Amino acid sequence: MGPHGTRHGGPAIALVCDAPAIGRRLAQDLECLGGSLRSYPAGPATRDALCADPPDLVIAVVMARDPSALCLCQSVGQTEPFAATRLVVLQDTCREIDHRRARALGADASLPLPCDPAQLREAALRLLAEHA
Amino acid sequence: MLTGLSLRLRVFLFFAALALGSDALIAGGLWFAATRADPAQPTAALMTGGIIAAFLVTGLVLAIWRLFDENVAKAIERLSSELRARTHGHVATGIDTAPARYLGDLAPAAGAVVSTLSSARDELDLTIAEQTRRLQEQTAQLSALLSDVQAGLILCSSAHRVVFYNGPAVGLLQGSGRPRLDRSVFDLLRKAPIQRTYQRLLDTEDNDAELLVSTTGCGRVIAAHMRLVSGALGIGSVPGYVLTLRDISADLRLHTERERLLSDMVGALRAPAAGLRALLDMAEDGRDNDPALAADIRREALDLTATVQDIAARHDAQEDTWWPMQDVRASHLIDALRGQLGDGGPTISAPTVFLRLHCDAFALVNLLAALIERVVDEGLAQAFTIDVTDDSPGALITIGWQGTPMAMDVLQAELDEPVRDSPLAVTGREILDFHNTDIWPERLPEGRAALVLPLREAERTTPINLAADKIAERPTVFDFDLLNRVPDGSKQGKRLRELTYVVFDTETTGLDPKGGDEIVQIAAVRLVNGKLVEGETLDQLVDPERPIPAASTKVHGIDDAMVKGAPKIDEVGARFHRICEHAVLIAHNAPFDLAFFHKQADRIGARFDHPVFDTVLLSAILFGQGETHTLDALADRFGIVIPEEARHTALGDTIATAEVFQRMIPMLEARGLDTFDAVLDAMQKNSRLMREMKARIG
Repeated sequence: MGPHGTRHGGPAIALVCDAPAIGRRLAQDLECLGGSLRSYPAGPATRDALCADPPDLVIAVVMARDPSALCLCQSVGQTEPFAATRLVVLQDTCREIDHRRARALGADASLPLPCDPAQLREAALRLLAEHA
Repeated sequence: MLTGLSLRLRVFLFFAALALGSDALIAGGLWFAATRADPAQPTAALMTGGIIAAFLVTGLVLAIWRLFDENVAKAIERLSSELRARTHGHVATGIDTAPARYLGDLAPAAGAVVSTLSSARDELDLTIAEQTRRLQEQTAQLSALLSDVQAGLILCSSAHRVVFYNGPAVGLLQGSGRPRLDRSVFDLLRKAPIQRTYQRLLDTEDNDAELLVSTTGCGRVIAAHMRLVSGALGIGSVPGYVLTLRDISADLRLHTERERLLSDMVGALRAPAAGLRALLDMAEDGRDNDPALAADIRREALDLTATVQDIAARHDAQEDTWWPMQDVRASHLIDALRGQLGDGGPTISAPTVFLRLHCDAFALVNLLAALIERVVDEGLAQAFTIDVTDDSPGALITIGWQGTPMAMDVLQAELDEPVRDSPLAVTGREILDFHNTDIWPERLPEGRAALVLPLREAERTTPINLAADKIAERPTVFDFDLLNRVPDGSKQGKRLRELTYVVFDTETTGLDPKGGDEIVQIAAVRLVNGKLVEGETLDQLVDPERPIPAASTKVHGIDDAMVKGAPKIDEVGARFHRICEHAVLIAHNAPFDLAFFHKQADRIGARFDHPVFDTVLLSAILFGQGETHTLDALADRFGIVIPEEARHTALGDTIATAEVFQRMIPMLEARGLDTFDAVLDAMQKNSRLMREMKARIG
């Protein structure tokens, strides 16, 4: 599945999610932020695509320790091409250790799933403001 | 001049002087009567002369008695005390012959006896010392081995008295109090299961059995294995028993929580799942255009997701794990990791770490070794650093190297593999789950990378290098002689060596308990079977809840800053009272120390009405009331050295008092004071001294 989405100018946001329903729902929640929002599946192809054109903000959904999603988080959080990119990780777990792992991988924010849309927007806006 | 004369001649001269003096005084009286005689009243002068002569003779007798008392009676008394001390108290110093200089050859002869005795003892001591050293070495080795045993071990006599316990047993039972030698095991563990199992083993041919028993204090559930011990360790035909203890409270709690979660989950999911299924069936029947049906489906679906999320949250919140864990020093874990990687493996450097980790060390070492080998295989590094740092309440294990971090997908793939040498083909992921943790790659400053693994539980430790330190850290305490003792609970008629003693001392803010002075430090040691029990020592600062005067600080070195944050007398006093249970208390000038406890009895919640032996009074019995009975004087008399830094500390003085008392026991026995009652009677006879001591503290 290739990237899809629309560009409206403003910040570039990438939504990485392998669960289509959750991805659609999150995209709806994030539309109000403006800018361009693109959705991607997790995997090496996405990492290469993002690396070629690093977005301002990556929102990654990690379901059940999905290795490809975690690998993408590590790339965004720890590699040079993404030095200016902010990372929000959404995880379907309440364990503190999982959120600690996300922060250690380079996440600027780590939120649980299901996610409060207001909380997600607030985190995204704060990080985009810092980025600006 | 007189010292050159023989003893018999000197005694003769004493009595000759008395006779001659009396004769002279009587003659003087007669002369007085003759010169003052009135022919009219001849008896009056005679009476006067007789009275004067009688007074003077009395005076002469008193003077001679005083000389005799000072130079003969007292000298003999002192010499006999010195002989007793050297014969029974094992004092090695020579006899002071100066006070007995008028006793002729007696003092030099006693000195020669002591010298001969001392030489014979020295030879005997050398032989015994050599044998003792070998035994001590073996004991130390055994203790070192036992200190590595993770399970709690308690050996009890047939009378259910504790004869042996190890460090883990202390940790397991800490909520019920501390195991102590010669105390009933029922003070720590519920009586019925132990007694029932013990009796069953005695009645059958079985030698061991499993039992569940709870602690008396905190209600922890302990899984115990009871094994009868007989032969050399038993009392004749009635054996004692060993209890191997394992705390299963956490396991039971965890299993209960999981069972409850499973049961709740099944119960909570059934209804919404059945409802949803019914609604979906209705939709399939062609009613999918019904708006009410759509609303019902949505409601049931929301209920179902809410239930799943609630159960998932409860599952994630469970931090305990049933996997068996041990407490292992971080340095030992790193050593084991080096061993696992082998001599030809990658270079590992690690700073010294003083942390003890709560983990499955075997599994963790295998996992870390596998990860390091994977890093090497990936060509990321050949040399590693391992840092174990405090991450309160746990620890952080960081495997670092120069280069790029391991990719997360490579790490995840490695974690999904069974770990090498794992007996159950356990994967790395499962090992992490058992520890309720995870591992991840990090990029560190200066071009370094790391794998970081947090552990949930760890504690700071002190350095160990010697086996002795290891034993002291996790003491193994035992006295197998206790197996041969049948306690009857009474002290009456008991021999001194059979009694359990608690020797104690306090340091205080001053000398006036009634005037508001308080305890600032308590120390106590236990003497069981006449031996000081290593590992059962109390040495505790106490917050006196008032300023410590500078004059007192000068004596004991304890100031306000040192007692800040220390427990108060109610807590320490209660702990001390538990130590004193069933024991005879011993202190030097005991009324002084006890006065502080008596006045705080309500706060402590217990009265110190134990029988008390006072080493001041015992010294008066052994050496006479005219001698000096200070602790320094007694220590000097018995050749006990109190290190200067320990003097006037509660523990230093306590140990000195204990040693003094140990030396006194054979001296008391030699005088026929070999039972509790006999010593108590003898102390009562010195009641004048006791009254004086009590009067001094008001």
